Amino acid sequence: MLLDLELDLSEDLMAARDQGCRPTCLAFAASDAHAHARGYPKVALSPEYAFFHAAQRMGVLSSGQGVTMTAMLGTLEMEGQPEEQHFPYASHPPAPSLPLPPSPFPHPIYKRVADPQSPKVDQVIDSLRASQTVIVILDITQQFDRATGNPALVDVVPGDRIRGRHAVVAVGLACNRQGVAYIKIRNSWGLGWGHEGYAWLSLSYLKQQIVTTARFQ
Amino acid sequence: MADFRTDILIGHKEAERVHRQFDTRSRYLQSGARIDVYRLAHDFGIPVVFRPLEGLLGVYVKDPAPGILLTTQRPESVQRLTCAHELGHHWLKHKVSYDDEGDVGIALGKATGRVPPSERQADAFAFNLLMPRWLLVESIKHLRQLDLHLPDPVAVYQLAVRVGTSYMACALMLAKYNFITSANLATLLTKQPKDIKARILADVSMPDWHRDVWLLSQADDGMAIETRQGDVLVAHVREASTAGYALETNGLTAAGFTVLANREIATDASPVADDPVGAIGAFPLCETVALANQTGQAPFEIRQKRPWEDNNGMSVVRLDVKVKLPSKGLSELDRAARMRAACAA
Repeated sequence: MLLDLELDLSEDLMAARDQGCRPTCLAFAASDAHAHARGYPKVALSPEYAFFHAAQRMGVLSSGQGVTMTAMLGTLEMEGQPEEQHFPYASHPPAPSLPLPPSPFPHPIYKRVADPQSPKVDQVIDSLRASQTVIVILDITQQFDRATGNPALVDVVPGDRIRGRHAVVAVGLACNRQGVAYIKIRNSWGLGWGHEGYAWLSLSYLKQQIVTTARFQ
Repeated sequence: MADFRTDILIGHKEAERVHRQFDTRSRYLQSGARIDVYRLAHDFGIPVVFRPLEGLLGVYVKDPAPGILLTTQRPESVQRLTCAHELGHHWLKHKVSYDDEGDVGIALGKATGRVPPSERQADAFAFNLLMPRWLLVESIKHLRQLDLHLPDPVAVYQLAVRVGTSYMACALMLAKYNFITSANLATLLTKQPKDIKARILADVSMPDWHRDVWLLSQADDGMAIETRQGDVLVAHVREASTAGYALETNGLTAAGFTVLANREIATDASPVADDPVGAIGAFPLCETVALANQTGQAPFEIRQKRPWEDNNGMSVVRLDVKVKLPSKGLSELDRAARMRAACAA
């Protein structure tokens, strides 16, 4: 199925990354949206650093536990994050505790304020049209897991089962020939998922599954 | 004549001596938390035979050579306690003993003048042999990783399964060591193991309610356990669904287990103090319920993989499980020793 592209901010970004088998999706989504908001979208920022500080804010440092949007946005505003090369991600679950960043950190740290937004798809579209990527939190389903092909499309399917609460970055807008609108999202499940790590969610799917959003100033 | 308390003390002290002399902590632990009482008997040079015994739980004989008879008509937890009780008679140099329900498992119950001192001593020996304090401390600590805490009846039941004793014997020993209060004990003794098993299994029913239910988690990874045919294994593992992974339990069927249920039981995506949306990316806790219905040694392994990746994924939890039939005739060790001797002759 062909899509008529309205905008695609993914072209500015580095290739989609892979969180491995860790509950760090929000750290990836926030880092990539942060990198885009800084104006250096191809300079990867460190999700490991952001996840460590957000987890520390919440007092949850064991594997399998995620972090809240409040903790993550607070981290990026107060503690910030360095470039990926200065605190690289450990793709295998570290045990028993998270990698500890040195303090004081010997490399530049980038901080930025982000605002939580209401879970309204119209606001996501407005932000994209203003060339701003958006962190989107949604309850993903089996259809989301199975996104494949080019373009990889995810639609509402009756009886679809929720699999978990996940974070992605909204980066593009398009319509199909029937006028159904889609939002392009960037995932953190490697290049093998969707099409090179990206998929298009129909507006009706997103409206049904969206939980909250955030946008950097 | 020694009084009740002295008899109990003698039994406990002698069991402690066995633990020290035989280094049970490093040499006789099986399934991670069970004192291998049959191997101890074997190393004492005492053959153990399982056979139907009308009205008796076990017999300790001295002539012409020491030996232990155990009934086949009781669950494994009672057989183990009876074996430890008969070993107590041997270690304490008692006479021949024919033991029924009035002799075994009474040591920590109410003092009664009708029970001979030798039975009280042997029973106290048995309780401490199978449930030394250090073993309970370690097992309780391990259970906390499954989010099981005393005095929850499920925690006590699970502790009993792991140390290989009955629920009631375990509850009595926990009270003796002050892990629980006497009020806790009174409440625990009103609960029936069958109801506790039903609580663990929720809407899944097991073919034989006399069998045990093992509650397993990722903290049990790498362990070897010994179960009996008909036991049910309930594994709680986190599915990395927000990282694209899906659990796979096909290997369980191939290994001879029957999967009775696969379901999600909890997520961490509930509101927290400062954030109504809750934790994002948390891995939901999932439950797999499997019946051990094929005897032999088999891996109990749950894996997870990303559907689009061309690999076998990764192991989430793996245990080596030995599924046994109920014991009959000579104990496994004695049978193996006889076979070796026959082959060597």
